Amino acid sequence: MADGRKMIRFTLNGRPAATDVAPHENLIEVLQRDFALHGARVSCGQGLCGCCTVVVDGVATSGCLFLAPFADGTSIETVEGLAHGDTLDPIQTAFLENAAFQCGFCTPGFILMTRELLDRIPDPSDDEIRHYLSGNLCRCAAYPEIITAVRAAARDRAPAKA
Amino acid sequence: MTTGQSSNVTPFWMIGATAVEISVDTETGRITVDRCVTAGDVGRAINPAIVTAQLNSAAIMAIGASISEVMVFERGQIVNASLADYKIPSFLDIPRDITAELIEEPHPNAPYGAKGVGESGSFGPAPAIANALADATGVRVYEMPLLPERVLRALRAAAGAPLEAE
Repeated sequence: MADGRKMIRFTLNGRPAATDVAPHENLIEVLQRDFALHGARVSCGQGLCGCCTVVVDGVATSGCLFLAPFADGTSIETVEGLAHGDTLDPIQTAFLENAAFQCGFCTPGFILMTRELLDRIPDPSDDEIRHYLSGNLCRCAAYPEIITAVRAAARDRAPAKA
Repeated sequence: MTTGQSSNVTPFWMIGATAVEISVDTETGRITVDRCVTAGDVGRAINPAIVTAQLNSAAIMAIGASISEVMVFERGQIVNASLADYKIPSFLDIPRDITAELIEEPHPNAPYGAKGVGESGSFGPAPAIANALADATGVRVYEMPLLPERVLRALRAAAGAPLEAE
């Protein structure tokens, strides 16, 4: 096509998805416009705040810097894909129960980044939590509660001791 | 009242107090807030967890305003309008030890004795940090925020080895 638009096919939260994107569009624009997924949102637009975090082929990624055409052939997960029906993911439950947010704008990014952290380091120290989540900014400064929530989620995810 | 204003200009006043422990890097002027304790007069804390969060987060926001957040203008234009250049606190900038104390005195003129607490933790950090800086180094800085460059200039001036003018 003369305008460079391209049909992309990818897996979105476990299901096949396809849409038509322009070369300059980023992944967040496309997820919001074509799939009505508004969990990941653009805040700084520069990859500095983590609000636009999505998981691309298993890696937490700043969606605002990820050009949509490159999503072709990938597997993408958003925060909307975490819950199973009405059953929340343990990380989502931990954030709710520990009041680990105030306005909630940054929360989807924190939750996805926490999942990546706990997948890699199941029982992180407070320092490891701080460092891993340091690329996610929370203007409401719910950081103390977020640490508590991450610890709680780590406990919930730990395999039951025999 | 003889202020000429209403005798009931606000439903309540917010009252808070903050104490901090800081470290000062005397080679760079950078301040790190290691510990922060905030007390708030909160009326009745209907949900103590959320009231605690409000006090702590207000303190963190005020810490950012006190040591790192500054809008830079050139010819009327903001030249640091991005999160790369306008530094709000991240996980690495908050005190390792941060606690809040709720002082409960139910307010007679408010629902269930509660009061707004969103700002009660935000008054104290700036003077507390400036006072801690003076206590630690003997140097008073009268301009906010306490950016590393500003603190370093003050430290060097006090040591008789001032940096070149900007």
